[in-house]
Amino acid sequence: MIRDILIGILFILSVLLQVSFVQTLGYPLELFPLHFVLGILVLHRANVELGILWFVFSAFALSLTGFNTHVWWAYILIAPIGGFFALKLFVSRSVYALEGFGLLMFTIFTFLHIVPMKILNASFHTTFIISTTPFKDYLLSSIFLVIGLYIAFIFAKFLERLVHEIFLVKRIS
Amino acid sequence: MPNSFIKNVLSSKGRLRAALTFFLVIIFFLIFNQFSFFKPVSLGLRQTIFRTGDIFENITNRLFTSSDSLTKRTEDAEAFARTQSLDISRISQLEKDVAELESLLSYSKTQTIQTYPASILARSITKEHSLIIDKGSDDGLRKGLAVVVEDGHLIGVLSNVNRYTSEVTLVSNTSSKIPVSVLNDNKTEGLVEGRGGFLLEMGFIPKDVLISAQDLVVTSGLSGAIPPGLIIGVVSEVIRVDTDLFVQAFVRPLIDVSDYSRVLILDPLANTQYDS
Repeated sequence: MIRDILIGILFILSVLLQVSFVQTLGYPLELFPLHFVLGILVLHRANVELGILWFVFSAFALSLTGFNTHVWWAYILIAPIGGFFALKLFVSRSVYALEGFGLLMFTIFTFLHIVPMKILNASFHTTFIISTTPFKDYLLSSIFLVIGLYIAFIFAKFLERLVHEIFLVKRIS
Repeated sequence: MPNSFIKNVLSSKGRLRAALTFFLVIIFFLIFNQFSFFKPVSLGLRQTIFRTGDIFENITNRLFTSSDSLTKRTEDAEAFARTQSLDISRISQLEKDVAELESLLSYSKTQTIQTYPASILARSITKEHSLIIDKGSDDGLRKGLAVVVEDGHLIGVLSNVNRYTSEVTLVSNTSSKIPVSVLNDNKTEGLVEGRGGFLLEMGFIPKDVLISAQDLVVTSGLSGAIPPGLIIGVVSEVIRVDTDLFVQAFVRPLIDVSDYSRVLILDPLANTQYDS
């Protein structure tokens, strides 16, 4: 229960940080997918259901609080896809599995954003403009994703150990 | 999507409870964000995060701007500043030149005597208070001619005339002696000598002559080559000593020679000399 509340708070904070902090930074730092990185981490390491809900709610939360850089259907579709991959393909809890899982999800996510937009000639959602250098932006974002996932993995391991020690000691005492 | 996956997701009560908790936390935030008492907190937090991002953006811009780019921008700015300084200086000098020329031209038109415009080439170092101008005997100049600026302010006399250049002994030169008259009720006449400084000395003024400060001092015309009425300056101080037979006065020129780069040489005898 506490973990679920904390993940909810983490979701809110990451949304605010993504739209108000990361997107304020200049190019190319603005391409850092902070919210996506944390979503991957939740999906892979914490709870698959919460991870799915994370991406589903991201479709709307980012637009409500600021500027969403990707279309809503990309988030909605990537959620169950990510859940499936987390349960069936990337079951290992190593950092390599996490990185592979994150890269694959992000690639599919970008594909889901760009292809329909190109097909629809960006007329369906006028607020989203395909970057003039989509491949370059994707590469940069992927690099940031990999670095972010690695740092988040280290931090998550530290937190898990800390929480485990606190609650385990508490239970024993 | 495999059915077992969906069943796994939906079958567990624990999972539903987790999802519901997560959902409620987000809904709680979104709903309460609409209320006025919560909005300041939410907006304040977002503003703080935004400003932090802004600061980071400025820092990263400074850190990650390539040195070549910075160097080029600095060089461009310096070159622009130099160009601007040169332009300002050039314009200022041009304005000064135009004003000088206009002044000399307007004065020249008022004169019936021959005038020769000339430019100052140098201010003599070896001799104090002298100038070199770019006109000489080939241009018709002679020794002893008056040299003026602006509206007839006498600055000196030609002391040495070469073929293409001439030397002007300024009125402040210790060897300069100009016969003058004071424009007062008495039309006092005297001799103004240079003292090597800014002020000129007028001596041999009769004791009974009334002369006071701010009286205008002009050339008297007693020197054949120097026309009368050329302005020397104004009386700045009168020194009377009871035991002396004469009164001494100091004359302050109204112009500063260092402000000028062009002069006019007056030759009142030119028509007489060359016409005859």
